[in-house]
Amino acid sequence: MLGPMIHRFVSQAIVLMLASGLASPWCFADKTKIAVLYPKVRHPLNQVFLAINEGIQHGGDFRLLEYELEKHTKAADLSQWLAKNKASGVIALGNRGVNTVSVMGDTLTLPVVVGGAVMGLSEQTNHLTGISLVPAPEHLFAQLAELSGKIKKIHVIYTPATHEWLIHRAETYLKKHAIALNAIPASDLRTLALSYRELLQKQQQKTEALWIPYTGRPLDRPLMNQVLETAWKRDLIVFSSNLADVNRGVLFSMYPDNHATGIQLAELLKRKMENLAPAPPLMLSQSLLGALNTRTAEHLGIALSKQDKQHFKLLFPMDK
Amino acid sequence: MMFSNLGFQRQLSIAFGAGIFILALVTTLVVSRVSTQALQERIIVEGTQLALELAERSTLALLYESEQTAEEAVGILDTFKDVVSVQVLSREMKPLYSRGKPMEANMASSVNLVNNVIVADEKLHWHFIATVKVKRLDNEPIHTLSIVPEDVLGFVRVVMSKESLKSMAINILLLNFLISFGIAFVLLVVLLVISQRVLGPINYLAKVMSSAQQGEVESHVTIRGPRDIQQMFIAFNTMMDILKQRELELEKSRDDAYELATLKGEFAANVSHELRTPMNGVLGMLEMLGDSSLTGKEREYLNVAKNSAKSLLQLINDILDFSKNEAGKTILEEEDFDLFDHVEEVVALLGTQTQKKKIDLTYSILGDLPRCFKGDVNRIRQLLINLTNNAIKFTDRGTVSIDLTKRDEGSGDSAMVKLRFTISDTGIGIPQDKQEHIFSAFSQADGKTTRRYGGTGLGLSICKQLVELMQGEIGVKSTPGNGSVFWFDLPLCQSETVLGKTFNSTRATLKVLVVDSNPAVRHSIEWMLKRSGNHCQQAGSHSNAVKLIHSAEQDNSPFDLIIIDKQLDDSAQTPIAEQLRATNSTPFCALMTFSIDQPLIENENSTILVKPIINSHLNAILDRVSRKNQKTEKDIPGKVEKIQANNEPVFPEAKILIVDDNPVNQMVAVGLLEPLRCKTATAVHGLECLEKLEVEHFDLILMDCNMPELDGYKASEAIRARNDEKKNVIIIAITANAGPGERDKCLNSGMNDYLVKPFDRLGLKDKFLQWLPEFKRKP
Repeated sequence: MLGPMIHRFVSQAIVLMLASGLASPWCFADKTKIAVLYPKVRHPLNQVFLAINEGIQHGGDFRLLEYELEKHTKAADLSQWLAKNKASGVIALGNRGVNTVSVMGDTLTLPVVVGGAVMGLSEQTNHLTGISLVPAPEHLFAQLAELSGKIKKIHVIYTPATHEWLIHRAETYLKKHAIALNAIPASDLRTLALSYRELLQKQQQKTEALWIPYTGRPLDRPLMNQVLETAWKRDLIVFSSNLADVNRGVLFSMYPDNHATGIQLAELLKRKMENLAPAPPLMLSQSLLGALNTRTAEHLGIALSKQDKQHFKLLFPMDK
Repeated sequence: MMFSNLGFQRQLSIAFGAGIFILALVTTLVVSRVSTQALQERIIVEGTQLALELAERSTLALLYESEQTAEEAVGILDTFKDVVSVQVLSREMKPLYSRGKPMEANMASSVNLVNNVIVADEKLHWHFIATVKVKRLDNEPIHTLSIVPEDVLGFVRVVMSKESLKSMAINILLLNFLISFGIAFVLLVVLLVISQRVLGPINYLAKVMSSAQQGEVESHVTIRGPRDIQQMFIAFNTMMDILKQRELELEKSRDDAYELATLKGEFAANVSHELRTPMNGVLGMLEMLGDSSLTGKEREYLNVAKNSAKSLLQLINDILDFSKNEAGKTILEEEDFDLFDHVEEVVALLGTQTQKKKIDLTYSILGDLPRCFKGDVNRIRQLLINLTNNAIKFTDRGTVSIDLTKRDEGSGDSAMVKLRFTISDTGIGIPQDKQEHIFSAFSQADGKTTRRYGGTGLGLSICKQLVELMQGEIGVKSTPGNGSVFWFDLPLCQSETVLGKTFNSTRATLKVLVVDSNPAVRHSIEWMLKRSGNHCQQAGSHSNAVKLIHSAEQDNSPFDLIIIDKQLDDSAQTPIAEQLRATNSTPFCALMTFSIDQPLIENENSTILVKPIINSHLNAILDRVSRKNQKTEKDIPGKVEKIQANNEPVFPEAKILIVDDNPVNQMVAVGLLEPLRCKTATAVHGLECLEKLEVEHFDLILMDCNMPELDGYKASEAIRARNDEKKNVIIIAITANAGPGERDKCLNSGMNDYLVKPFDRLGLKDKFLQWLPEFKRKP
């Protein structure tokens, strides 16, 4: 009896050592080095990058070389570092990481994937391979349907320069599901404010919902407050692509699962490094987690069971 | 100055009160100021926050350009009563909405930036101006959360009144004032209570000390108060106990000293009596022995014995006087006296000594000096005699002068005059270092002086004692080889009584020439002549005198009298008498001489004048000259005063009773009276005196004071108590008792006069002349 036990123990130990990558340099020597570039920021802003890093590590058989990007990190220094460390690929995270690799351009010959940044799918970004933090709207709409199946119309006020592609994608999806999309363009803040005011007066309860598209920064607080106050008064359903809005009072939002994003980024890089197929363009986050404002849901009369709530990763207001 | 005059407690109260008041005032002002400042800052912060809040709320209003929305936004300020004006302004500063009176910030007000809000600080208001901004829409492909560009939509202005601040500031000031001064008052009261607790015992101690200062040596304090004060009290009580003990010791010492002084006085009195009585016997016997027939050698031995006895008597007198003065038993007497006469008498008394030594003895009284005074004339005579005697003793040649001057008028009392008596001589002088102690007892200039001149050294110390007793001063100025000047000042009261000899005011004014080589003699005679209204000229030499005589002859104003020194005249080539024969006038000549053995040259125009020259002698000569000039011959008493050793008056009809328990004294008295040819009887005590008086008549009784059976005082009282004429018999005390008040005691018991033993014939004769003038007969 003892013999098989010992044998099993030793085998597991070997597997663990191999799996953890903490074996002798002889193991590392086989792993591909990839550089992970991310902004040097303080907690909690760095949580996104740490989670993605973790995912990257799980996602590929890489040895990660982490490089924290300062505000004024020079491309030359980065190149030197990459060469010195013999990185085989680069994953650039965050706005600073994406901007850095963009600036380096052709000088950076290594395969690069980007992530951890709010990026729209536009001409300016379609050359990038990676995953944007912007949640795919389909998931939002699907979640909306789960919460309130009566929605027939979704309103959205968007910035044409930023959201044009998003509106198209949303329109395509919603058309398939027989939901109308009322997309109102607003190029400036005044038009935006006026449009919101007007819209909120007209929006119907229960059958219509207001979608706040993703923005690089939150809406001005007065405007947001105005929207949420009016929505509250009129019992209007408002959901947002921005996680921060849930805490302010929107019904729900969805946000990327950064760990899964990391795994996906690793996979993308691997594919790019192997050059097996053309690198896919920048994608929206598909691996999403839900955030729900239970108070708003309750106010709107949306009954949720405990199980329903467990479906959401984040519930607001948070317990103190 | 006023504050320093206040008591300690008052000073403490004022100091504490002032300090606390200042503290309260400063505290109030500072705290109020600080509080107001903090309040103001808080209001400003509040104002800025209001402006920022309004700015945020006005975002939509400006975006919507909606006055209504702006009004709703401004509604948050409704609860702020200090907000007097609100404006929402577009980017072009056009008002979108206004509430309250639109107000522009004064250009002169101070402007600061607080939390990105412009704060204009005016006198009555604050203006808070905040910018309404919105974040620009993000059109970037890669969105960033870093610095977000903002657009300015407009401005909000909030004007807040300072009324609340001012009223709060006043409230704070008042509250602080009340609290500070309330606490200050309580503190002051507490301090006063504490100080009272400390100062109360001190004040109590001060009171007790004050009473102790008044002489209450029994003053003690009750121990109380804080421990430190108690120690003070204990120390004070201990000090008082020590003081009391010392006072008792001092009192005992004083009593002992007084007792000792009394004993000394009594001793002096007793000793005086015990010493004088045998001395009386010795001197009396020697004097009587002198009246009998003796060989030259025997007479010489007798003179030596007499001189020795007199010296011994003088010594005894000095010692007794000194002891009496030291014991404070000397009592000054007061009687009216003629100063001029007594000075003259002293000169006459001491003239014998100067005659023997052939030195001039002069006197003068200078200035406008009154004649009669009140005082102890005997002590003054004693002083003059002592000092003049001293001067004569230590002068071998030259002059001894007695001068009197007025020192100054006494202050306050117009009758008081301060006189200076100066006795100067041309003697051996006194070394400077000896002068300091010259008036100390038993001190003489040096041992040689004592050996050569004798003396006990008590004379000057006695003089000092007497002068000081009479509230005077005494001193000396001397240079060895150049003589000495002794002086003493005495304050004397003028007397209204007119005593002494008066001048013959009917005598004509005479012109007199005084010729003597000694200027002191000339000045003295001149003073006497001028006093009596005569003209006087002086000449220091024979030749000058001749010149003056001739000059006067030529001026047809010849001299009436020439007083010339005989020695000077004898030494001249031509005596003055011969000189005068050549002139037409025949002035009267008086030849001054020391010697009494000179053959008399007295005639119609000349006479002898024995030195020292005294006023009465001079007056007699002036009278004679005046008479001569008037060709009248009146028999004036006191013609030419020559020493008439064998010309004593006698009293053959006087009957004298000698009362003395001592047979020696009796024998002495009888012996002394024999040359006066009195009839004498004796008695051994007062009782026998009364018995004898009962059966016999006596003209004068010489009464001893201390006798058994009945003493002299009681006997005198008994005699005076008689009812017949015998009660008026003259009683002269003869006593060895020279103690204080002896004279008064004698006089109070009814005696007429007293004579101190040992007495001599001269003394007796003087008393007889005084009291029995009607019995005086020429020999």
